[in-house]
Amino acid sequence: MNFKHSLRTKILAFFSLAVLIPILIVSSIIVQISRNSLWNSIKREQTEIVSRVGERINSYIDNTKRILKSVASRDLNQAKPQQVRQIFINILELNNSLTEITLIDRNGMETVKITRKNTGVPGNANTFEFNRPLTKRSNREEFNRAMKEGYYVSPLCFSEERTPYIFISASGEGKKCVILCKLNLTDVWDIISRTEVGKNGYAFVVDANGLLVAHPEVERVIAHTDFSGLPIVRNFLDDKPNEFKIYKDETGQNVVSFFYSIPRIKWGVFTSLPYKELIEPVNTMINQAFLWLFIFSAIFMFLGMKFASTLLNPLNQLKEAANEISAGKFDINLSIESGDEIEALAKTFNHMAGALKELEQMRQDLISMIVHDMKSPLSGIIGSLDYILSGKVNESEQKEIFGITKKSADSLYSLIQNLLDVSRMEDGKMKLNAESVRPETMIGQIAAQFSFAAQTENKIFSVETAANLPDVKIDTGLINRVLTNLVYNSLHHTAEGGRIWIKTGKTGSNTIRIEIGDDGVGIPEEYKNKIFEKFVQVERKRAHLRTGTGLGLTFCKMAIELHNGRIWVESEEGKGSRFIFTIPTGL
Amino acid sequence: MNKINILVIEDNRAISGLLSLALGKKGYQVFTAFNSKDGLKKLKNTPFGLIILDVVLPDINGFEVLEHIKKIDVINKIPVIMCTEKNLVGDIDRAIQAGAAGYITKPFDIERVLEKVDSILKKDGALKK
Repeated sequence: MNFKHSLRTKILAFFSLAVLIPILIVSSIIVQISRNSLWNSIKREQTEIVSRVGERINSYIDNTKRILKSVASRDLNQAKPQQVRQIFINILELNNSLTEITLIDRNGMETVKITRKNTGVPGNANTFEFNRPLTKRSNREEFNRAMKEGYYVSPLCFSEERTPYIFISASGEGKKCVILCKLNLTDVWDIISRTEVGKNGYAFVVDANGLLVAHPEVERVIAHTDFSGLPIVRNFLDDKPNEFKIYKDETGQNVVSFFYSIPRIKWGVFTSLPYKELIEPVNTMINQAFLWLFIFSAIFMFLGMKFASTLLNPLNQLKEAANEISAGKFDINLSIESGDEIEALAKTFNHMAGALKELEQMRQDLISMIVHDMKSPLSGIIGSLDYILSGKVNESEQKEIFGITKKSADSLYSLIQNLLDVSRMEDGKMKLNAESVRPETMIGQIAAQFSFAAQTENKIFSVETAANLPDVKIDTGLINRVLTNLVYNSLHHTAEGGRIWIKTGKTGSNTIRIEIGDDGVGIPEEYKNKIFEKFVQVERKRAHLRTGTGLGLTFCKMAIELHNGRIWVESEEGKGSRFIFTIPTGL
Repeated sequence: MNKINILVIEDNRAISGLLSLALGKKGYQVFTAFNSKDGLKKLKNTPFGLIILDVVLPDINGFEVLEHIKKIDVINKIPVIMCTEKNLVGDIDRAIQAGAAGYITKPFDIERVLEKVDSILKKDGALKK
């Protein structure tokens, strides 16, 4: 399978194969099995039919022969004709199929002959005719063969009423005489015509030469039809194996046949069942199987289609939503209620879109904050330069304005430095330039830097350093800027007359603790952690909490953490804030 | 003649310094505040002829300060010039609505600011005296 096809095609292909292949296999197995069992059962049935019919005909003729043999064994030529007659009448009365019985002496002359007058209609008393013209049979087969071989069965004959019959003759021990009788075969015909083979099949009997003896269509028997040309009859006549298989019948149609060979008289009993009838149930079954196959595939195709749609529609929605996100639209609310993993995916997706939207908002906030922070000193610089360029200021004023310009430029520079450092630290590209330094020295520099500014703004700036602080190994440049940022921040948020302080101390034996505090506006509880974060959403009203130093607090946090330290803020709104950080003395 | 007092509430030290210098040179007495708290405190203690008020302040924003000023008797008569970002149309509208006498946008030309201060003070009548 080419896996580059669409999911819909794959699902449909999967469904079709999953349904069609098993159905095809199962139905072909079923058809095969049922064909075999049907074949076998018909074979059994036909075998049973031919042998049953054959046995009946055999015993019918055999019985007659035995009677004749036993009679012929008696020396009837010595008996009185009266006695013979009585024996013959007894025989005729016991065997309704016998219509004539004749005693022939050893020279082939008929001596006694009794013929049944009626043909054995039930209820009628039997009447007999005696000694109708006696003929000489010394050169006839029924006499000679009986004398020679003990008994003889003649080919089929018909009486004037078209009643089929055969002659059976037998000689007794010592070949003193021959008893010849005429056996009415109506019963055999009855058996054959009553024998049912399938629905349209039939049974028939041929004699040792392939001539028809009994057939459901009596006319064919009367017409002395020769069946020796039929393949199955040929097999029988040539003593070939009796195979149950498909043969051609006399009309050329395919039939399945089987035969039974009646011993001694060498007649064959055959069945003939149109092959069409045999395979009809199998064909019906195959047709049905195909019908169901079609119905099931249609149903499963439909279900597969449905399934594919329920699967693919949400996927398409997700795809479109993803495209929208790529295009910067984050207002996505997928309402997929399939109750499965896809719904969960859609929910996650919505959540992701929300998070992205928030992130985008935060990013914009950050940008506008940074832009604002950069604009402020630039405004100062531009304003200053404009004023100087206007030519309306004297030299000493110019000096003062240049001072202002320098401060603005410095603050712009430190702001940009903050941004660069944050980005470097985020990328893990910042390398610490550590050196041992005395905390007092470091704090002293900051104090000197800010005490004048505090004084001009009427703010009280104090430094309180603990005695005996150990040296710390730090990147002085970075930590200096941390301190600058924090003190500037405090100064920025303190009113006139307010206090700003730096306190140093120790936490444990090898961690120093530095606190930069003020009694300014303070920080609301919910912002205490957020002010250190790079991306954070701040209410517009609270924007001032984040402005001033352009990611200054984020820079502080990262720089302190780079020193394996920790920074946090303790604050009460309206009462002031204390930024505290700790740094281990040895890196 | 008594000098007219002008209060500059602006956290940007450079802008604040420039305004002090320029307005001082023009003969005004300039007071500066770097946050609203200081500004409001100074408003209570000193009579001012004009206020220059920045929008972004370290504690509460300038609009809130303006709204607060407009609620206080006597003080609410003092004309206020709002100092806004250049392109924020909404801010300018908001300033006018809140009762600002005028606005200046950063970065500004000191000369223009001085002209604006003059014209507003004239309109207000404070300069006629």
